[in-house]
Amino acid sequence: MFARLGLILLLIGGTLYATLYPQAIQIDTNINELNPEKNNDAGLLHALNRLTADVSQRFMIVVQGADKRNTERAATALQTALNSLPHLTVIDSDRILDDYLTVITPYRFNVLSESQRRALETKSAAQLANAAQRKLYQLGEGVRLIPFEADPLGWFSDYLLTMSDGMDTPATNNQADKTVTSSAVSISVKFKEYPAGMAEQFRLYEQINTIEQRVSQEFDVAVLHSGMFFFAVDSAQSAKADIQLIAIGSITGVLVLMLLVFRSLLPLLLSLGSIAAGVGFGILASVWLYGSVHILTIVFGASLIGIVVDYSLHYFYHFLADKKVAEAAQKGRDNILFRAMLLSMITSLVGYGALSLSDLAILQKIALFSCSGLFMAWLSVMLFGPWVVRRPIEARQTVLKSMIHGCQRMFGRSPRGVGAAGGAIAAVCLVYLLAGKVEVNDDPRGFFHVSPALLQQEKAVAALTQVYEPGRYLLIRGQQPQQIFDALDQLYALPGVDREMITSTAQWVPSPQVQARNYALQAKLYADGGALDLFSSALGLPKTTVATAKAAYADAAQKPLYFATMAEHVAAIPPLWSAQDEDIYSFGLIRKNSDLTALAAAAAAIPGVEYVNTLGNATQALKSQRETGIILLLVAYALVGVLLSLWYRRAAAALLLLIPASASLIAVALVAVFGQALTIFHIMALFLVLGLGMDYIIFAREMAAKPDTTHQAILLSAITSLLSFGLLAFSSMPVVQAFGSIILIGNTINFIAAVTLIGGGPKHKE
Amino acid sequence: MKKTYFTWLGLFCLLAVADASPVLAKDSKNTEETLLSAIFPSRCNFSGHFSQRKAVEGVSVPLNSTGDFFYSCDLGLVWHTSKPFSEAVLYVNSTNNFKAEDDGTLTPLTGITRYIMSNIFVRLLNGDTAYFAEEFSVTEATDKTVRLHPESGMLQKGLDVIHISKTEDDSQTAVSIKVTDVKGQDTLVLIDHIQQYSFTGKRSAYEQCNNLYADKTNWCQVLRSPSRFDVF
Repeated sequence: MFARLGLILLLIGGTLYATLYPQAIQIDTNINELNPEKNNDAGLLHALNRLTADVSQRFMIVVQGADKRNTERAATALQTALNSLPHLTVIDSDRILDDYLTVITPYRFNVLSESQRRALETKSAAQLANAAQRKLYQLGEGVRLIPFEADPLGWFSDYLLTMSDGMDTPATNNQADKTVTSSAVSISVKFKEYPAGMAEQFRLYEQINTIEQRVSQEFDVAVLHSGMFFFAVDSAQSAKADIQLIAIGSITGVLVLMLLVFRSLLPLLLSLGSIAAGVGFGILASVWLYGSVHILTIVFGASLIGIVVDYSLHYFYHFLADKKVAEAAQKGRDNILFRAMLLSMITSLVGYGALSLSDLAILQKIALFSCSGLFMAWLSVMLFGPWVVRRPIEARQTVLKSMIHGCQRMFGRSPRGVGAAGGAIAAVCLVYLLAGKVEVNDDPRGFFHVSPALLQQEKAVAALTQVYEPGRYLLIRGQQPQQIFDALDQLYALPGVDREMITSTAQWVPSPQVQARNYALQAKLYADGGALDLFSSALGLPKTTVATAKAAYADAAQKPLYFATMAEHVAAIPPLWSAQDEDIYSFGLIRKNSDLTALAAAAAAIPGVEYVNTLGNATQALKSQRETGIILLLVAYALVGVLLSLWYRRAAAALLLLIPASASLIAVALVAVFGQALTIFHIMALFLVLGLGMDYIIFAREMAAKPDTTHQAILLSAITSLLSFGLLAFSSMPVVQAFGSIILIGNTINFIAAVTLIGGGPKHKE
Repeated sequence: MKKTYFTWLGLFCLLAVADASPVLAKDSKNTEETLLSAIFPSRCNFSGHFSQRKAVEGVSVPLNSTGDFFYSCDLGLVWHTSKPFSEAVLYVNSTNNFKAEDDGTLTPLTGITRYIMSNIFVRLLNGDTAYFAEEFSVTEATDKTVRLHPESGMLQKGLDVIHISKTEDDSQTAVSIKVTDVKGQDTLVLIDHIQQYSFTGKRSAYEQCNNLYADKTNWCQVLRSPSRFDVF
């Protein structure tokens, strides 16, 4: 009684929590969950998260048209429309330049171009003053990027402009040129506030699409976009469609079946109640432990409905029109049912729980969701079931019976023959899998469904604008800022490595040592009697004009500019620098078409520098996971085998495992024959084939006294499971499809074997 | 503080922002090209004198300079300032361009000078009317001065307007070019004593260049074979 009360309170509490704090239930769409790379370095994790978050907070839009002016007009219209959306802001070049200048100007005496450094080392103050004076007369010269008083010699302006050398013709990303027939303008957009929920993300996605289409039609231009946001929303949309298909399909199937079979609302209520309790508790457990529910967890979790309903089905069938049993149940003395239910639940928990042994965060989350959901559903059936069976349960059995008898007539006339045939087919499948060079896929990019149109746009935008190798970067570690710069200098000095290959912190800020050296060299310009004094007297400038610059120089002594300071004030600069405790992590972004082999070799030769290939690492790690998964599956079989032997006190009981084992081999061979490349998700699905198969076998064996009703319960259970898992096989997402197809095939075989080989054939009547 | 010629930073940040520009119909472009043709050089080889007057914010006195030049479509440009200093800009193409001393010392052009040379001045001498019609809004003022307003976002950041006028009398032709930047600073270049040459080919142009700058070390050789003078 206390247990029931406790469960009721828990369910009410959970419902209230979900109702009062719906915002606490966040749906996570991060596809990085599929990356098995473990990172135990908190500092590095923080740095990587910042970089990833920065990348995911931006996207790029490219406007392409035949006429340059028209393309620019279209880009402006698009920019205005995007800026009008509250979530977005187009990165404004004027703002960036203002921010950049504001940050670097006080540190202008710490920076020098190579030619300026040479000039300071080789020329006298008089020569330098003369050169500055001459420069004023040159065509176009004389303009200062900061006021004349702050940079009278023009050295700082020159430094900034020298950095742009090689880029000034043409000077923007605008690829229009009179010699080409088309032009393109790229627009970088940043999120002011990332849309919180899926609904808001979809809405923004639609708004962006509408704007793009309007501009495209109005100006007759092509508008392409690229960014993680679009991929995330696209994946989430696919997942949402899958969730709807699976959840609606499963629930409708279960409802119709229950109503048709039991013709009563009470069993239906318990079934739905146990489903709601199981799924609800699964969601709350995920939120409590992980802070959110991953979208894939929900997709897989929706299929849990098919298993959860099994408990109530077996429960009701056990009490079919059997007053004595019902009375015994009310007195809590039905040990046969309890044993079967308990063993079934434990084997399912072993099956789902084995997923948590994976290093993939997503599989761990699915394991938690499923195990907690299964347990809660089981508990609710066991505690509330006796209330439901107070009144005799009746079921329409004719159709189910004829289905089972049909199945038994087809397969069960010679159980040994069926068993032998199944074993032989499984053996052939095993040989095929071992010798047939079955195709495998460990590339995480193949796990998701991405719309071909989006991929095409991504490629087109990358060809026009993207300058960095995706998924590859250099990681430079050190304890002092100078160590990072020294490592970069060593890297640049190695053969095959060019400065142009890498975008690093060194591009924006010189090392502290170099800044100090640059400052010291400029004493020749700004010290008393230096080039500035000579320059001002030659031009007849009042002393007050140059006093500002001289005072600023004196004030800037021993004040190095750090990258973190610059990144903090210039929003467009990616977070390439992160300091945690005493460790510094810096990233080098690799430009496209760089010699990656040379770069990797160079990085390997320098302590503290690491060439990171995230896709390669993820693929390798997933391969390792797939291989480990097979070993873990064998371990799970061994554990269940030991459990069965102990439970039945017979070693031969472990032979029951031959049923799910054969089902698994046949399922894997079939999906391979039909062209699916095997992934870790196929392997993980095999854990469920084991868990579900053991459910059927245990009920068939434990309830052997009433084979007819038990088989009906198993049939109903199988239909509901196949409804939910079978629907997964038709998902648009390859990972979900892999999961569903293995379970659809494997579980069908499990069912046939359970009703024909275990607990008696057609001759055994109740 | 203005952001003169500073769009290069945008490349660092992987961005490009488009700016509005009015659409000109084909007829309008043709009119612009006609206007420009009337004031742009019609020959491919010519020389002349120039005087330049610059106003720089913060410098109280105007900066006056004078000099001479030689331009050949095949060879390039020598822009020689003789007063108050003697030095020259040698411009072959967008990759080969130098500041030259009398003694032949070369320094690569950088920054604004290089940009102005590449994108405006040499194109103007080359009579590239199509480029200016594309990049500028070209109008004619009542005083027959042609006004060029930049239309591209890049140019608008540094340049406000260019005024070009041409005066011709029986004896000579003079061209006046006034460049006003976004800070309101004017650079006025007056070109006169223009002499046009009828020869064709690089060799003849080189010989003419040598005639004009015989006392300067290597200037014309730099134009003819810039790769021999690698100063980078």
